[in-house]
Amino acid sequence: MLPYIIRRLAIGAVVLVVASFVVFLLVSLSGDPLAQLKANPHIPPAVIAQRERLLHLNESIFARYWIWVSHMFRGDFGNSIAGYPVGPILWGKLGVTLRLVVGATLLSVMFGVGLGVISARRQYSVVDYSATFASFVFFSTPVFVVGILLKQFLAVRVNLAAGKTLLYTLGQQSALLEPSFGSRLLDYTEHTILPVITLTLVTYPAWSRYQRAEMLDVQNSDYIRLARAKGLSPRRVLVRHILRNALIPVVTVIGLDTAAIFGGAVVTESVFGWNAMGQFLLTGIQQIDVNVVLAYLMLTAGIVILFNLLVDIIYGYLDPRIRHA
Amino acid sequence: MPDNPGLLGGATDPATGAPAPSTGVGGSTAPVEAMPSPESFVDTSVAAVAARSQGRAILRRFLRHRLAMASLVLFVAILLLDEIGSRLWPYTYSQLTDALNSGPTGGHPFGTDGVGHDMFAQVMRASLTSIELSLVVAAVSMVIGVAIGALAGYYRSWPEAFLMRFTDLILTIPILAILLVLSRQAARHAGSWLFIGLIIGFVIWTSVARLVRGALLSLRERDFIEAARALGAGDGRIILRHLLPNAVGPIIVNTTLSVATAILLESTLSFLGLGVQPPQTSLGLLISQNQGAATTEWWLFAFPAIFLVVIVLCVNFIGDGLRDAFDPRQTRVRA
Repeated sequence: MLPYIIRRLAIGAVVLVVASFVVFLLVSLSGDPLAQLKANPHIPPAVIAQRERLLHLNESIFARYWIWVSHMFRGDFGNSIAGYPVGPILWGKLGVTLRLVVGATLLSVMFGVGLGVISARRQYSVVDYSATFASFVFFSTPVFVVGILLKQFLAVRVNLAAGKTLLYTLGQQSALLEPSFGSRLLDYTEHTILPVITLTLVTYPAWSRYQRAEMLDVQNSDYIRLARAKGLSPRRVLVRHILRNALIPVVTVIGLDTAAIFGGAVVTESVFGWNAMGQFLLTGIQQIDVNVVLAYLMLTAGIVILFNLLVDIIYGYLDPRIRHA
Repeated sequence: MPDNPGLLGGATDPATGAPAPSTGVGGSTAPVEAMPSPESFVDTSVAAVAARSQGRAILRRFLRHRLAMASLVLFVAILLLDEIGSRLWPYTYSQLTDALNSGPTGGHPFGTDGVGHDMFAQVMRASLTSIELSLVVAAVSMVIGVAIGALAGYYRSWPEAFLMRFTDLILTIPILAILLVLSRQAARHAGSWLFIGLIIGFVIWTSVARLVRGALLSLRERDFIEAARALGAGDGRIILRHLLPNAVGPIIVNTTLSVATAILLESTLSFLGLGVQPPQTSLGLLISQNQGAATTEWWLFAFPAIFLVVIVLCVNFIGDGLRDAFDPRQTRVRA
């Protein structure tokens, strides 16, 4: 197991290095971060020269990449164009984004697996057809349309009906927070519910389709017929024999979709005006801020690699035939 | 529906679908190509029916797929509306009419926005851009995906390594983040929608490539490939005449579904301001511009959103129908 983990992490590290270099080139070559400053006639040339020196823009692109790498080795992400250190800010935003990503992943697993199982158990029933139709519709709807609809219609209705703001549609928390832990938790939750539902609605359809297909595959297999013939209770057949086998491929799909969830989070955060990693990435790209963009990519990619490793280890436990050599 | 036979004809007839091989040796491969498919075995056993090609059987299954056919009709109707309707419509998408903030009326069935743009003209133009862009994406990703997938599946070695590492990259970093970084360039280059289409195509080809590689890995071990090689067929001929035609089903299905993916990605990029740039327009851009109006001037938001969802839904249903038509046993192809 340990050699397997080390090898996977090594491959992940190589991917990260290559990705960081390619993205560094792409972002650096996409324009001059000081263009706005230079276009302003009131800025003296000395200031621009100083900024260029501070940002190492007068050095070659490979030298700049090396400077970035040495920052990474020291454990920080370098400074942004505006001069503040990227690391501490990013870690704060990561916590906010993880609220959304973790919440949506958990809810999507429950929704996807649950609906898939129900659909397969009642194949060609009204439930199955409605679930299938809903999955197709949500699968074909962009994240931002779902978000805008929930925000403009559901939130307004619910808040009117409740007579107070239950579902917040803007920001990741209230501007003024009471210090007590309980009220802060409540405030976070009220701000997180709608974005989590939004991201869940576009994530679960693929998983539930997959779960349904796997369930049907397993249900009609010979060993399930045998299990029934042995006289096992239907419940035991479902939980121990069908579900355990049908979950195996779905777990992989969930792992593979992690990066997509982070991508969806960028859009969701944008719709709900969250000041989190998505907004960080978007401003980074717009301002040609290499260190900011790379910090985002390294952090999300690192999380995705670790999560996928975890998924593969779980996979090994679910399916004893798989040996991680 | 003039598009239908063309789309399926080229797709389901492997002999015409594959380009003429350049490296074939002699004309002695005919027996191999004439090898009957399982479907034609079944069909010729029915006395009244003459030998029916596999392509016809697939076409027939697709035509019987009601949901897919309805989606195809609707998709073509939207395309024709965008293509022809926008020429006949009195307003162009960029024209400012004198009706400001008008709700849906006889003259402006989709209403107008705050500066007097006719929304019907805008939605037609925007959905045309989205569809054309997604077709570019499908073409680009299919060509790259089939080429690299075929090389990786047939020769293994470095094309396979390249494909696998590129796939690792795509699975590790959110595609959206990669596209956002790339499309920053597009925003600089006057924001041509074609450029956006090309970069999406250059990023999402891996799914087709993995499918083709997977199919070729098993096909290349089959006896008919051995026979072709024994008859003197070169690598190029084997790949183009014998391997790829047998993988055409998954390629077509995946390419169709990539149209849906492309429309969603394009609209998302445009929504975030890094996709199609004004004065060009796309459905994502329209929705982005009008997102605040969803409850007040609902027509500004609803019509682009409905068009977007309906188009993507149609493409997904068509892809589903094609999958059923190509693979009636319902076994999914795994890469």
